[in-house]
Amino acid sequence: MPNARAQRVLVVEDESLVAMLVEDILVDSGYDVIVAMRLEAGLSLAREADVHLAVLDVNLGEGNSYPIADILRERGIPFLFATGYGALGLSSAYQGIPTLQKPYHPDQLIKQVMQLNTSALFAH
Amino acid sequence: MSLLESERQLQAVLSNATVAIFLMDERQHCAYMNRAAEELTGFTLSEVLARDCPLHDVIHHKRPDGSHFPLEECPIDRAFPTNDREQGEEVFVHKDGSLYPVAFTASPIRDKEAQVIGTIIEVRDIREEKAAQERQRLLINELNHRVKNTLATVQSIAAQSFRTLSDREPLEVFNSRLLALSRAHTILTDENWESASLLLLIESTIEPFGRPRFTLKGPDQRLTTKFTVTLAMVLHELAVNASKHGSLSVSDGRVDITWSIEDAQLHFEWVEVNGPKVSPPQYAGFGSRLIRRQFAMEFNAEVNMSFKQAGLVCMVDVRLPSFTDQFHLGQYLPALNEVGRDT
Repeated sequence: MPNARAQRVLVVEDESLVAMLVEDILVDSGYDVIVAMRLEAGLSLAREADVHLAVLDVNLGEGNSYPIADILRERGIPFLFATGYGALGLSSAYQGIPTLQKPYHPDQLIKQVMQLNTSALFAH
Repeated sequence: MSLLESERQLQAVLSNATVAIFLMDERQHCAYMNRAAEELTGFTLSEVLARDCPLHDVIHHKRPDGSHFPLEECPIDRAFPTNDREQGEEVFVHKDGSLYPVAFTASPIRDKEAQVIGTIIEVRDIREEKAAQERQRLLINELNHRVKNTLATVQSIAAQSFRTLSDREPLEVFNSRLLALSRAHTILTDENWESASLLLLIESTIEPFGRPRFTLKGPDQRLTTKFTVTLAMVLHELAVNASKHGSLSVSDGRVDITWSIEDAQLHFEWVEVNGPKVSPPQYAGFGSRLIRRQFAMEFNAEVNMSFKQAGLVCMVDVRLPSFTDQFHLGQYLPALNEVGRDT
């Protein structure tokens, strides 16, 4: 769905099939999506890409996505975690970050992403 | 240092050691055991000396099944003539008749002329370790069981949810993908979620498409769990496409799968032979996206698909993920245990 005002979401997810699902859910709701499946790719996109929001898987196989989260925080880009371990599996430094437990309903993802957006607007 | 003083020191070392230490003479009789050895076996040194028989017949005379264990067959006994630091695990018999697992290290003692005159044996109680291993085994079994049941449950939910659809094809597509995933999990389950054989994974994924229609050529290789699961899905999509549009859609078509591995660099080729003329647009959608985009991104793979006269040729070049980065199930077991209690 081409949309001139579409917001761009960075999705970091290391499982191919899950990445496809997240991308489809967001694209179907009118977002532009950039996907990173490996830590290095996630880090460089978090540093350089023009994104408004991000959805981060926590466990990336080669490590976790906390370094990506730190960059996003520094840049003031709101993000949420989507993880199979749920909020309890998060390191204490990230306890306040919105978290979705996998698997989730597509509507839950969209709702949380929209909330990120609202909080971002108020922050400005 | 006087002889008396050094003997006192040695005594202090032995009495305070937490590992059991036995000193055996050339007849395999126990000449000395420290306090930890007395606690472990239930016998005092004087009791053992009074028995005047090989130590084996006091603390190691029964096998775990209860049958008699002759001295000649004892692996600790084998340390006596030659080997230094013979190690292993055995099951000992306590004074009260109970059996307990131990880890031992046995080394010969030599005199000035290098003649073997006895054996020194260290023994450690490994009941706790064995119990922990057993708990881990039970948890892995439980996890395997749940994964399988969950996949079967998902299959049922899909069947129930789509039963009113007149078009059966989407459900068929779903079932065959779910079963491909399940087959990969079966291989991983059989290997305790540590690794999977590349050859076995290929064999198992192509099996539903008619094994005689494939030729396989390449060395076997251990794959990490994550690579195993994604590769299974990739191979499945290639096979599905071949049977719908490619070489497996005609009677004498086949697929030649060849691969080579050098320094963890995998070169893999899927070559369809004797197929109908295929054109690129036929190959789109889920399979194409999974292979060309996701698989390539997930593993930094180079994927090349070309549509030749005889069918699809898919070439993959990828560095196989190393096992040092792999998620270890064991390290997460306490957490899984917690989750299990909550649900």
